[in-house]
Amino acid sequence: MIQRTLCTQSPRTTRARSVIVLVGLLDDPVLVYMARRLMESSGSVVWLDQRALGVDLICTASGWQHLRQGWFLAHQSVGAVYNRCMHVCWGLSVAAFSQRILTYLLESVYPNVINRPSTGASNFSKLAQLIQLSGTVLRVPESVLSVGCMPPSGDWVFKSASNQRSVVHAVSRLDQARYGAEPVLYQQRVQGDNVRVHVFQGRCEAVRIEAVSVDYRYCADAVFRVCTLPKQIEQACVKLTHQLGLMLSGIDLIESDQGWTILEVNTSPGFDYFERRIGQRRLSRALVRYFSDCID
Amino acid sequence: MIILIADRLSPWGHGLTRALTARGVDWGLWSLKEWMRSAWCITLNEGIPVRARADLMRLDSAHACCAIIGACPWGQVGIASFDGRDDAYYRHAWMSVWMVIQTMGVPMFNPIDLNGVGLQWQGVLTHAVRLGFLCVGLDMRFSLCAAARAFERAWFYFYTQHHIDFETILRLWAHHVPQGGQWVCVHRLEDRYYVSAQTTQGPVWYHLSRDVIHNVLAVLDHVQSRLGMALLYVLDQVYFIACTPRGHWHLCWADDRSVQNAFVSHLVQLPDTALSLYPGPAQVPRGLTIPSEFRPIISCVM
Repeated sequence: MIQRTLCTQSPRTTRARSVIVLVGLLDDPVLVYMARRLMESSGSVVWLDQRALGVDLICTASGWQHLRQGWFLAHQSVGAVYNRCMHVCWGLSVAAFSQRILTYLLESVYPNVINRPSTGASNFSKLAQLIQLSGTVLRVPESVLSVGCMPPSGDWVFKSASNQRSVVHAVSRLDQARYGAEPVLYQQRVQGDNVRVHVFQGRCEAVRIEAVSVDYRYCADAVFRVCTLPKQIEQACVKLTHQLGLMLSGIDLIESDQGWTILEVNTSPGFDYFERRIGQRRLSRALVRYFSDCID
Repeated sequence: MIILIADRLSPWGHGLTRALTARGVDWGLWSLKEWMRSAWCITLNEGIPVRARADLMRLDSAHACCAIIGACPWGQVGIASFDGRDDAYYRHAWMSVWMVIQTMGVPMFNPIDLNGVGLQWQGVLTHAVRLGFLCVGLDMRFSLCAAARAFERAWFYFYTQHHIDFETILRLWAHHVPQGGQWVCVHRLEDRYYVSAQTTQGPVWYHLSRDVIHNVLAVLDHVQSRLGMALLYVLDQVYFIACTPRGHWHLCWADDRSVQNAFVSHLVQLPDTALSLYPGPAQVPRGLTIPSEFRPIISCVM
């Protein structure tokens, strides 16, 4: 429904910097949420479906042409972009090439992109990112990236080594017969409250989560509350976001008896989930305001 | 020890191994597949420098790694060659190991092209234009996309399968540049550079101004290429045609041995890094530690 509305809204869009573009998969709930918020305001919104690249959606000298739906979006009409294009394609297929063209446009041509592809790559490797995040007021948990070795013993958790999704579990849940062929990230478990901080334009929106499970995202009883961060933690979050070159970030913290620990900086945060849980839309309103200000 | 990664050594890789042996430098060659059948352990403990250990098959004693060199023909060290498995989760997990190695200061020459930037001609050329170079097709702005695709294919086939030779590549580009100019290659080796021009008699030494060289190195920096080659076309102005993040001095350098010797001299001086190498058995390829039920496809928070 949203897709049809978006597409018929701009059958041929050429006016300079007049359109907000959403980039990613059509079934991405964050994009759906953002599209709804944007359409509540008055701007023109066009969705570039990542799966249609090089198939129905063709990049021409002057813009994007959707062959099946018949709409056209001029490159010059792009005023701002919300980018959730996550997977890079390799190879020489038309689709892979189209994605590289899109990456180039997002990186070097289109204005006001949240976030540009190069900055989005910073959490491609969780351990590499943690190394970058070390040395601030936020502690970094002891971490081991390994394959072909026994996992650390004691109170540790394991998770995907890259930005691919995985449910975080205690190492005790690992099946010893299944130590497999892929590198896995093990981290010493930090007992405390999870705090998700979204940083945008130098402001922090923090949510505290109380949950009994290791991974609160899969805990039905988890309780979400808006919270205020200590000034120095807020400043550290803003500084790290800036250091990674991000306009928008989702930072995972744990507050424990030992202080504040940083787990990860998400470069493409699923902020909609938190807004739904706390019933507030401060971040999405700020994003909509920003996008509205970007278009003529 | 210098580690070379290649399923099949490139011609310059062969030359390099001979030169390393002649200088008495320890080196070892592993394929990407073998590399991924080793045991790896990288530890981050705040306040202590990151340290890594790899238990490699076919190693006779413990060593410290000084550098890693991708020594395959172009494209062979790409992500697609990862053990024949095309599973994104598996591939990304291994890529994250490479990213950590890069982060912890192990010198990597011709690294695996993690993000495909080596093939993103549009981005490379845009950067070149910002630095004042002319680029083929740029006056047509986005038709650059079409030109870039043709170049990409030619370049890719050239380095992966040797379908076409260097002269054919130059003829392909010649359709897009004005007549009467000179093809010039700039090889970069850390802070040094070597410039040669193509003539009908083969490559000869060539001189470029300090400003042009500075900008060529800046483009190579942009693609994080410490060892690489840029192809230019010089008429009354300089066109930036393409670049590759690897050495090809055997193809277009007037005196390839001097460049190779300089590279080996550089390698000899590299200190040990925090990546330790130990002999170890090859791991038998198995399933995945994190099973698919722990990797939900359904949408969740990121």
